[in-house]
Amino acid sequence: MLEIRDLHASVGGNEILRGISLSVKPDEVHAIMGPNGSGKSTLARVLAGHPDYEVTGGEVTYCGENLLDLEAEVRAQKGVFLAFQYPVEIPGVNNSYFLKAALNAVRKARGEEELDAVDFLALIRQKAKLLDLDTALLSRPVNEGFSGGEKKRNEIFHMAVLEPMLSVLDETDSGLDIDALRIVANGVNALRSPERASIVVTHYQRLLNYIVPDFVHVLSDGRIIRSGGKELALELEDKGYAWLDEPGHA
Amino acid sequence: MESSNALRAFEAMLELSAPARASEPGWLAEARRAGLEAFRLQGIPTTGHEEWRSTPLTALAATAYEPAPAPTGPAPAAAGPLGGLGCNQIEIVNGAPILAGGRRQVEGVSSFLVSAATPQEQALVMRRLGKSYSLNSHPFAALNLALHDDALVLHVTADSAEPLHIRHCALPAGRPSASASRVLVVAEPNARAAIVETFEGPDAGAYLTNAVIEFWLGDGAAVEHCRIQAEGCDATHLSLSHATVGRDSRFTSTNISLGSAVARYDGNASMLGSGGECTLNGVYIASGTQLIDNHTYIDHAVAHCQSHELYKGVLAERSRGVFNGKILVREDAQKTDAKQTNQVLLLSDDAQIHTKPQLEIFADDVRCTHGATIGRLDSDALFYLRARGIPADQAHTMLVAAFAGDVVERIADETLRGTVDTLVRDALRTGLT
Repeated sequence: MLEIRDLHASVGGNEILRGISLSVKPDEVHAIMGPNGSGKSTLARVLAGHPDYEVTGGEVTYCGENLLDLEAEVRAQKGVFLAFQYPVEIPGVNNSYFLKAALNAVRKARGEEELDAVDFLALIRQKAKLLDLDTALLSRPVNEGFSGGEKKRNEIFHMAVLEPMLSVLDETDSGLDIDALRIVANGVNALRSPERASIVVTHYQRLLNYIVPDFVHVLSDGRIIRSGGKELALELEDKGYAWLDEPGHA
Repeated sequence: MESSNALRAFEAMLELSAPARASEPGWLAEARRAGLEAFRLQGIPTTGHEEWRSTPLTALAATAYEPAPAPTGPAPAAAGPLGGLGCNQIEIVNGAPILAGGRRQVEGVSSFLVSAATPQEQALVMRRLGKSYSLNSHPFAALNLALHDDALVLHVTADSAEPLHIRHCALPAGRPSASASRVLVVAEPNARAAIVETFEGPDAGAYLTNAVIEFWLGDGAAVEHCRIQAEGCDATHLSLSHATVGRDSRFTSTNISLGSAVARYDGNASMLGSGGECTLNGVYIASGTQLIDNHTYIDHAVAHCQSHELYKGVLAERSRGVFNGKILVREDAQKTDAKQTNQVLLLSDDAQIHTKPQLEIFADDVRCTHGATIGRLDSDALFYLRARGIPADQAHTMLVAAFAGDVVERIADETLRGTVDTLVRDALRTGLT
């Protein structure tokens, strides 16, 4: 589904990604771990098409297409979803109005008919319930005045409505208490299916107790320095990232 | 005063209209004379005048306008969202109000033309027409008093059931034409009304609209005013609104400025009774080489009044905006609470805004705040929308509409709010992407 080969990317002239290669197949969950500043979030944003990041080398193929050639909105329409680390507050744009515009853009791109107001309302009520999201947040401006936990839950709620093929979760667990973490993980797990895949970017192992990954990759200084199964996450939790920097492990 | 094509044209118009004015009552002839005198003293302002510093009128001054021909019937129905304002409507075509029999009575409001006014009605009008603002500091409003066609009077005597729509319409003419329209709104104590003014005209060909509306609010009255300036793209639009706000009365005005090559609006209010409240809000959207100039002036003459101003501008391409917000708090106006905000979104490197708060405070126990912000579209928000699948141009419109929507959503009347919202979104879609 997603093939990343020797990806280099920089922001403001600083090279952050220094040769990432990663292969994600349908039905897989990949966890990207690593210390702060290792390039985890940069990888997530580059995949989503953030205009501030410049790809300086390598390639990314998504479902047979060159992902890097596509505008951010086209990537989303083709099923790539980024759950933001810091969801943006958008004053004056109603959350459900926004989500309806997004869903209909995605449906249109898939050649599906736009949802009418009644069907859309039924859909978002159902998904909001799944994420235990206060329905009052649906009629408020996007993320404005939401608590940290509400913002993260709103991200996964958007994801549940848009039903992406490849979801990239950028530190969705940060700032969540254990109950919220469980709810968010349930939302992600509900979307798991043989044709979909996820990349879960996280600093801590605890999210991976709820979203169990098939592969764990450790990023350091813009490169994947180690890959393994879910047990690698436990090992990291136990020994810390410094362990990997010791000679013989890199 | 220097001579110019426009000045000669205005003088010619006065001469031309003289025979028709001969039968007017003495008080009206006197008012016209006062207007003319004040205009002749001031002339067409240049950028040397402080109040017109950023608004050159070189094109206007050079144009030999002809009087806009008298209408032969109602204007063609409005196309687009403006056509949806199906409320109680009176047309002013080429500056001339069209009112069969010179009057119309609807619940709470009696409308009449000055030419058809009874002696009692004339008494109501003569004390107010052209008396609310200083003729010597508003040259075009002075000219309007001299030159205006029959004035339309709305006498609000009780609560009016639905908004009154005054539709100003300039008809296409072969040559540059000028019109001057005048409306007077008198709200009796405790009466309420909502008044919508729309301005439309042809998209090809230069013309000049000079429009003045005066509001006199009795004690405890409430008037909501909304004006939608959607003139043709070669138009010059010069207009003034002045509200005289009485004790415990409330005046709310929303000025939506979308059209014209050059538009200058003066939105004024005099707070003359304690407990009065006024709100002057506005949205201006410009592109191409448009120039939109909004001047507001709130005169706090007595104590315990409030005023609120929120203006939002969206400027694209090489357009220019001017916002000058003057608040005068006189010595006796203790406990005044005045707040003024102007926020501008610049969508291109070539767009310009001149924004100036002008607070003159002579009382010591008041609260006056002002703020101006000038910014660009939030790129993080734009990316967030696009990353959810919304195409860039739609995301752009959505964010700009949200910016302007802050003013639009304050319009109390639901139908009107819906119409304004559609117009603003259309203007953003067609003009700015």
